[in-house]
Amino acid sequence: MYRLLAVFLVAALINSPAADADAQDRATLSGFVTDASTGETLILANVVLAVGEIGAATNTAGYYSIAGIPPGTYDVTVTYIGFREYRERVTLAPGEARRLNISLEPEIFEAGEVIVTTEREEQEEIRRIGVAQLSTNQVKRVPALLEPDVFRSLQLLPGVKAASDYSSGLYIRGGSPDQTLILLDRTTVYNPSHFFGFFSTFNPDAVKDVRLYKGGYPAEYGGRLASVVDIYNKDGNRVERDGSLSVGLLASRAIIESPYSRGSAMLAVRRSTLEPLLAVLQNQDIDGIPEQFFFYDVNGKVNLDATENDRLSVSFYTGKDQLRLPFADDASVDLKYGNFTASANWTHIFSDKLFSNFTLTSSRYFSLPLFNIGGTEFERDNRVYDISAKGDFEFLPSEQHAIRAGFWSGNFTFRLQDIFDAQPTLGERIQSFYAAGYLEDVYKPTPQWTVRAGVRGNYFGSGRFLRLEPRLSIEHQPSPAIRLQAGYGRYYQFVTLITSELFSGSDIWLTTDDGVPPAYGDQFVAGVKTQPVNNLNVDFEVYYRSMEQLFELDPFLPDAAGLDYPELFRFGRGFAYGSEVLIERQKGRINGFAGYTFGVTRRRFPGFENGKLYAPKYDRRHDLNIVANFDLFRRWRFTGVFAYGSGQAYTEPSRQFKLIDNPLGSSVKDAVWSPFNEARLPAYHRLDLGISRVGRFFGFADYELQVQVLNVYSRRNVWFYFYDFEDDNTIDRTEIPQIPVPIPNLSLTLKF
Amino acid sequence: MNPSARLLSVFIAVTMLVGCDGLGTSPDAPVTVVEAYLVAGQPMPSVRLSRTAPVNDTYDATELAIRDAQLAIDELDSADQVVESTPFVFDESTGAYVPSVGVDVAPSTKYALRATLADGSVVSSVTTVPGDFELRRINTTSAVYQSPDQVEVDVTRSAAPGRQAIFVFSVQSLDPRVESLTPLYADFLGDDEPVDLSDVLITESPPINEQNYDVNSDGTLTVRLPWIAVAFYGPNRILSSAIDDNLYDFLRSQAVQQGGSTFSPGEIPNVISHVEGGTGIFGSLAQISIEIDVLR
Repeated sequence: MYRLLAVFLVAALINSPAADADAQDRATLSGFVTDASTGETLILANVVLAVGEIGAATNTAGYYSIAGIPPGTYDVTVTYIGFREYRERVTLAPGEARRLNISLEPEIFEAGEVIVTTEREEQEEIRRIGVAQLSTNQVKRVPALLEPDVFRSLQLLPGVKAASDYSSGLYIRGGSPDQTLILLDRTTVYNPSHFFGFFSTFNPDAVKDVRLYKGGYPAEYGGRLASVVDIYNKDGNRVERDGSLSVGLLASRAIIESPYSRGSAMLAVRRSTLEPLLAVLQNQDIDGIPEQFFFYDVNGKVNLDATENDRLSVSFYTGKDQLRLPFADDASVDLKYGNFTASANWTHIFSDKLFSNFTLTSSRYFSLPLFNIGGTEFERDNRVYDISAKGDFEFLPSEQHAIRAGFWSGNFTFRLQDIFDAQPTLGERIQSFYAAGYLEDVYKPTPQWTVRAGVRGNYFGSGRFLRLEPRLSIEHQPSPAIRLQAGYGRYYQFVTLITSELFSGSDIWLTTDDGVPPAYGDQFVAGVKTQPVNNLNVDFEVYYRSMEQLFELDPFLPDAAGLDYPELFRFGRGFAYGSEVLIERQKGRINGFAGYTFGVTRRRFPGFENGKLYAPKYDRRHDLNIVANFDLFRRWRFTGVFAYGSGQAYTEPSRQFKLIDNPLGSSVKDAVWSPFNEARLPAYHRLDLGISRVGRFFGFADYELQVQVLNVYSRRNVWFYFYDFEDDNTIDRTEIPQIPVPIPNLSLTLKF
Repeated sequence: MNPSARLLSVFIAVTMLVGCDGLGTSPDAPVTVVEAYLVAGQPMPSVRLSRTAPVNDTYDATELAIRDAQLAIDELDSADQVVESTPFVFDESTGAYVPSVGVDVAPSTKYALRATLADGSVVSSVTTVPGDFELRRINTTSAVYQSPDQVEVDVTRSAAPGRQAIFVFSVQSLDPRVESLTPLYADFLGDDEPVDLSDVLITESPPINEQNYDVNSDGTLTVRLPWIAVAFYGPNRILSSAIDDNLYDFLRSQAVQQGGSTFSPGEIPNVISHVEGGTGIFGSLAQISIEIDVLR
């Protein structure tokens, strides 16, 4: 495989038409595509020359470049969902390198307006295999429990599952949450959760673009077995100062954006507003009410458009959750956890054929729980530091080749200290240098064929592991409406996450080391993407994933003191396969999507449950999600979301016994005997509805009032069953529900 | 049908045939349960044999006792040859098998349990008794509850071939009364009358590794009593038990069944039992005890 890729890459370079004599006469068209109303760069906008089926998509900097264009006159068409199509006729001279920056006007729906769209308008990059993009408008429209959330919106896409109504964790194509790389402005985020996992840290006001690589992701990414969520914050309005304020039931948000002489800036703040409610509950002497609970996050970015070819930006995110909860007389927990990320980015265009991006990143995660129970303290100091530098290059030697290469190198430090009763009981500290480099060629021998071949090399210092990851995908477009796609990739993962579906506030990341090799897996994906009629995408994908050398904390380990590092883990394997269907109408008064997923995932750990294959809890055979938006009237918008999922795996105890002669304590030892995770919960289904009204607020601001109801028809979905041993030697089964009743949500947003 | 639709139909039909789940269902047949704990230096204990009960039924160890098994515990040498065999007989008064002859359990010694049931099936397990250890020093025999001056004891180390010693600490009240409950346990037990003290008469820690404790220059370990373990003011007995692999595995896996760990809610793994042909525990321990007075 590696040899094949090497031959392919070398041959691609040697045979590049750039070497041809007439290459000197070819022209190049490049530039940035922006939103005309804000100046924000648009990621993955489509730029097409109407003649000759030549085109490109903007990259993550909003930049496009089309090389190898024969001299002549062309109609340049630029499209992006939610914006009016842009057309301009350009005449390119032999050898000309034309910079064409393009601003797209947002499409504003007016009653009675007929929106003209191009035939078979497609976003090329989004139509790649395994890729999905989510607009922040959609995130804000989807009915949400208390607060709009990026991850909960992602959970609606085919191939992405939610573990429960209470978890924003992403279970993508059979992978656990740690198998997904989460990037914010190119920086790794290690705990993307607020409210102990209830929703994600990403403030939808600040987010510009969310891209999900569900599988078969390209060589520029690495370090996770399954998938990538790549999130970019807004640059800030480059045209005029604006801002908005949103007041919700759980949290309130504010954002301000402004241009300045050489660029733009953005600051977004979100904070929970639960204190008044907590005070009322505390005054009523209700048990289990925290003495203190809040969370906040702040996102900021400053951009400097230094020259036509240089753009610099500095961005940061900081967020924290804090809880103080007495849970009995003489027992309490204090918990602080959060993230800080910062990145400095330099985009430099060396030439019309060579684009580059350099980033310095810093990411810090901390979780500091302190328990005081009966005069005995248990304290944990859990921190992750990740500092890195990365560079990405795009080289366009001809219209047939786009060569991408880059590096990512840094230092990962993890520290975990436990103190029990004033005595240190655990002290782990691992510091690891890591480095990765990749090379990828996107080869288009004809307009109908695209071959992406790449290889990524990874080195992880903790354990001194060097691994190579080949990636290959092929797309054939027999007609403008049909894309046939297939891909393969090998992926390695050098970190693992200790977490709980119940509580993400004390997540711990551990790494490979001597005796703990990296996990790896192969992914095979294939798909058909079609557009049977304009503005209707019907996509189908199948996948198979293997997972080898999975390493995770031994779940039975009561005490890690004095153990060698490999003794903390259990090692296993798994696989996942499935198929996904997505039917999507992106534009029009009625738009939305329906996604169906058929999925199977299994795990096996030697010595666990006799080494049998088992289904993890998040294994669910069928999922159906329907998201529909209705813009029927000028000021009113309706949104409905229906979700159906067949039952999740769980353990149904079949027999029980007790040990009654316990020599260590006075309690009887109850135990159950069960086939592990061989039962299925009842099917899950839920309908959420939302309505919003937009207009002017006393003449000084635009407003949007949202009223939403979750679980409209009061479906009592089962989260899990809890088995309690009763004093009369029976076992009582209690059904723990997911959101059991209709939950209303109300928010008001003012835009200045 | 246009080409897009035709192609999609083929793909969907093909892949819907792919899914075939290899999971089977587990039988509901009863499983033999063993319960026996060998304590170094003490007489051979009684052994309970019973059967698991359906989960929606009641479990009564006496009612479900297996009365007609042939049961013996053999002492083994380093080559796993039988040194001495102790036969057991069923005792109706206790509902358990008791040794036919009086034999003391030796520390650092391997024992094998073998029970042949009436249907010919065999249940067996092996344990290696932890090495004996002893108390060398105690800093005080009375301490004020939650004062910084905690009870500290120095103990010799217990031999555990191939691994560090693992301890369980238990605190047994010698004068258990409701009014003597410490605030934490009083809150746990609630206000319902009458208060049932049975579950807190002896509190026990989870398994704790030897490496948690300070090693003194003379090789002894200094162990401090955490206040969380004290349920009653007044006289208490502290038991320090070094446990074998079987007890360690059973305790840690049984605790996971009760919740916690990294399993998702609703995932309940089976206990790790080391009992061939059945489940339960054939474990062993070495134990020391001291008495202290916990003052208000």
